[in-house]
Amino acid sequence: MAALYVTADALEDAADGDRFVSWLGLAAAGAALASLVQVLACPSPEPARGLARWFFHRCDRARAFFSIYMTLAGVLSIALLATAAAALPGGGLAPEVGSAWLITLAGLVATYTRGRGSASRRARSRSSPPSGAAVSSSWWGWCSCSGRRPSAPTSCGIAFATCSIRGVGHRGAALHVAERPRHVAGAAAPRLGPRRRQARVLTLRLAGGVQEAHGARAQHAAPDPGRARDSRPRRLARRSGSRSTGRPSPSSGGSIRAPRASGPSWSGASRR
Amino acid sequence: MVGSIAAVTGFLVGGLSEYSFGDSEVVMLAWTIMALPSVVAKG
Repeated sequence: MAALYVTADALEDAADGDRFVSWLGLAAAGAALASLVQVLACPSPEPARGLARWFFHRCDRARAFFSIYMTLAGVLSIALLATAAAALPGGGLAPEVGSAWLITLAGLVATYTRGRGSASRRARSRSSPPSGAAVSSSWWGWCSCSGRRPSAPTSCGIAFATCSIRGVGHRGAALHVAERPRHVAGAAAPRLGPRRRQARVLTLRLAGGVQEAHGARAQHAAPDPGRARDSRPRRLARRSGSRSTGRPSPSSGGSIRAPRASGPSWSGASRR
Repeated sequence: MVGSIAAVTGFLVGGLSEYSFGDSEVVMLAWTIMALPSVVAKG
């Protein structure tokens, strides 16, 4: 609040005020220019040391010389509004100052974008997509969803909400989710507590974002959903059946009978 | 004067979606801009 009294005391008259606002607009344009350079030339990975590391640290969103993009956005929005009246036609602003106002506006827009570094990270994360649905952020920060299953719309809806609330779209991260079958999702989960049920959608991995920076391993779903649902005894029965008969295992549509506990086993019967 | 009012209004409207009042750089600039009408009234 001291800034209010200091400014009111330091400036003598309206001409001083105009000069102060003009310099404020130019300073904001300089910061906006730096932020534009930051976003457009954002390297990936970021430089290891020196001034470049400070300048391009977390440069996927424009932050200029501030610690975070939100501060830059707040400062630029106030500076833009303070100089907007003068920048309007008939406001008595010089053309070059008008272009500075436009640069400031572009810098404000850049605080809402993702830089090239996050774009390359996003491309890497797309190289091995797991099954299920994937939510990723676009260049302009919108969350987009791509489904690979018939039930993907549900996954996409929930993942999209997660992306919006938790900020998964931040820094170009991609959230891959999988959806449990309806009967599994409705089953009771005693380990979670009384009357708790399995979640319908579970997070497989958060690629290209915060977790990748910490070295999280991607957990891919099985390429064949039918095999993924087979239990261990069923797999054993399928393998033993194919070895004993010399034929390929029954199709997934057919039923497999488990060996009986008493009497001759499958393999024993076929060898005779 | 108009610019100051617009800036303060924008700051307050922006506060509906984000807590800029807790950011020292932003709030210092807002206080500075608020002082401009008194400078104009002074002379």
